Amino acid sequence: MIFSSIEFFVFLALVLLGLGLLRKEGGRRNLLLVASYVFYGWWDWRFCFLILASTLIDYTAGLRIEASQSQAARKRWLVVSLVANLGILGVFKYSNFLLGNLRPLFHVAGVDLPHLNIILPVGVSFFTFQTMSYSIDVYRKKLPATHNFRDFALFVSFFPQLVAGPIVRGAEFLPQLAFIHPLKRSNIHAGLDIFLRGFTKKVLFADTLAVYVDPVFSHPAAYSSGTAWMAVIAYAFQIYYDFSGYSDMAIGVGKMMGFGLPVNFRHPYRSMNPTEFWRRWHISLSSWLRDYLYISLGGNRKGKSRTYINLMLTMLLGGLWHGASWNFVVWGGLHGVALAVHKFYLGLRGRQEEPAGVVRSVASWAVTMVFVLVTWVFFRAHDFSTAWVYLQKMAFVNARGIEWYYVQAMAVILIGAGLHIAVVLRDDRELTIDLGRPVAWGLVVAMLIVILLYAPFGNSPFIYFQF
Amino acid sequence: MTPVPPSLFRKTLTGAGVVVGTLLALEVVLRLWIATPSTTEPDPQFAYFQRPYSRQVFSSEGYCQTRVNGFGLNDNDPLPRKPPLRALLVGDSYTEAMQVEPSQNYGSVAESRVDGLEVCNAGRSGWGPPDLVAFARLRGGEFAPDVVVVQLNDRDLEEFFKTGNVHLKADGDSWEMVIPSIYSNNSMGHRIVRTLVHSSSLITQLRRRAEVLAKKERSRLERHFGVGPAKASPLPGKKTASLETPAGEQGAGAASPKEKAPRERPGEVDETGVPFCAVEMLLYLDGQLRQAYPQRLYLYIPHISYLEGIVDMPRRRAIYHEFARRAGVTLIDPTVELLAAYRRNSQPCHGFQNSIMGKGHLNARGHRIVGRMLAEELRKRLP
Repeated sequence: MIFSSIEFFVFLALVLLGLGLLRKEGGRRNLLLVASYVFYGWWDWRFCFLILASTLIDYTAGLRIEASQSQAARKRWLVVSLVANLGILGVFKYSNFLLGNLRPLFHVAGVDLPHLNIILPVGVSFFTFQTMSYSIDVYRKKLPATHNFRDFALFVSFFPQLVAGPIVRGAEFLPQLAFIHPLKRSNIHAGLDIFLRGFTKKVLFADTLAVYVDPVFSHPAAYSSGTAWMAVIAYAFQIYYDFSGYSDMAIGVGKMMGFGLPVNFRHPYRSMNPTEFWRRWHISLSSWLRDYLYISLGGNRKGKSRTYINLMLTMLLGGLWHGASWNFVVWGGLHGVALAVHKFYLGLRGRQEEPAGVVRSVASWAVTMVFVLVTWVFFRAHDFSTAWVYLQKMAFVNARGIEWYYVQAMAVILIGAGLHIAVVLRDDRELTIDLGRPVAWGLVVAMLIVILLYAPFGNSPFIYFQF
Repeated sequence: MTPVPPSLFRKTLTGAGVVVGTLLALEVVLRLWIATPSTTEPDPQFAYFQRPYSRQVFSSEGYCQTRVNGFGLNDNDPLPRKPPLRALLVGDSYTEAMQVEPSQNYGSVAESRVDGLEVCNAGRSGWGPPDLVAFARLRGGEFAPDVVVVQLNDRDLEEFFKTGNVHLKADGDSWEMVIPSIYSNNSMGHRIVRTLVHSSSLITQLRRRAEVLAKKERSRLERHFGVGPAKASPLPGKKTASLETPAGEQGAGAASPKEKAPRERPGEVDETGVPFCAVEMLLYLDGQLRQAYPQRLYLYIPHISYLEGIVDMPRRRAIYHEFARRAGVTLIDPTVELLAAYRRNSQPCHGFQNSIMGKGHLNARGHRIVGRMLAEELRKRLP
């Protein structure tokens, strides 16, 4: 069930109605838990058992870690949690990737490794990271273990952010369960505003851009260099609107029900350098990687060279988290290199009190954006050879080809650029609609009509569902 | 002094005013530049025509602002004084050509290249071969043409039995052309809907889009629950031919479409939806025109997949060539010229900047090429 489908609207309306009718908090939480499992089981009911197993393991591990007196026992239960979660990821997400890479070696020895017929459970990367963060936080004594299984199961399966984030940590969600969550008009208005923003981003912007991006990335050799550049810019906006649209819808739905979910994007394309980009892009993942991987590896506490190595390792694994493909590893690796180079540069330059001038700011922004665009090619291309052809086109090698500048996509890019500029001028403050004002409803009606008239209705799933 | 909050009535009125104002603004923008309201008038034989002399704005693929003629077709009225050669061009949406300006469509291009030639464009979106022939027979006389040009495309081979349109039905050893009675439902409800749709661009567009959305959502939900019509599978023992296998290249001993599908079983189609007896059906349709129009030309508009390694649909194309050979008529086939143009300048002859380049209808470049070829053929028929 995707957020932009008719059945989700019916589902959401029923859940909200149920929450409104139930008087007791326990009943509301039971309803949310059942709804979350129905939501997840809509794809494939068998995977409900997987998420239930993950929940049981981490719930038990959390309690045992907290109850254990010795450090060794605490560590043992942490390892149980990590192995279980990484095992789920390894089996469902990476086994065929591993077998594919080993196949040529085994083939030489006369052994043919099979291709396993495994379906990737939707959102597996998100809920495993979420439960791992819980176990690690309990182990680090940053969070008390949850004793209420229903509440813990709700934390793992909370449907708004279950399949594509934001990755919510126990420390962010579980304390909210100490309060009651009756339906409130102010929450519904605020949540609806955020949800509509996300819905527009996905259905009108991202899906329109997909119509342009998909053919060009399928046959880059056939298109001109100008088209290749425009299509990669379109892809940069597409993935941003697709993913941040989903995050907004998740945050909006959570808000309607009285739950706060963390912000996942802060206008990443206004970033002046790679470090800033990762502070603005997929914040819940980048902060997860920083807190649970980079810092665990030693962070910047073990000397300069170890810092660079830790950065590279973190970004390589961050790339691999996105998908079982070398393309994602390269994408992560390139970002790792960029972060290391930027850190090195900052070390050389030293701390500067004066703000950068306009020329230097524009140059920094342009270099960062070109780098980000080039790395998106690896992220989007089916394989290395396609990425190579695409990069050649971008470098104006064999520049001739079909000149296609899809009018609708160009309009979305202009609007996207305009919105980013507006946010820069407003010091990062989002443009919001106050649904308490009657004028806002006129804008909502206009927006819904424009969506109905111009959304491509492609039924394209969210890009991050595959991760 | 504490400000008095606005009453619920005032709030509702303001909200309603904003909504109505927004809708009106959208209506004006749509009507002027994006899409005119529906102007279709029911027709007892051909479902509908556009209201005579109505203004049309088309922007969903390419762009065109035009005013249809007295027949409700995308062309000027026929000249009051007949020129040396008048051609009636019957076809589907390729001929109607609402994607390009009227002066750019191949009918106009041909007309502009040959002195003394008038091409009357009778193209209408959604027509299949039986509609074209029926129109030429029943209404063609009003144009008094010297030659009839019948435009066909790859998809037409699937449209012989479309019962909503003029279609073919087996009748013993031959075929029978059936003109269905359309628009029988003239109830109050339908008339109200029609009036609303005709009066507003916004309602016209919203209705079309809602239909598209409903269809997509229905099929998606059917897929999710595993219900809905099962995918058509070939009948037991029925031989099927591959999409990419030209009829003439099926190997020694291969049966002709006629042999594969006897006329007693006219509904039999291969896995790609093409009737096995497509050539016989085309011959039958041509026979319907032969007596009234001794001079007939056929114009084939190919579907070309530029991006998938420049392939066309060789089998379908071969069916049209086989038909033309057996009927002894000329078939204009621009496939080679369209592909050559693409190889020369890397720009496809199908598709637009507001649709997918390389797919869909002919663009101005494609119309120019087809128009040139049509002009050459028609020039030979000048008295």
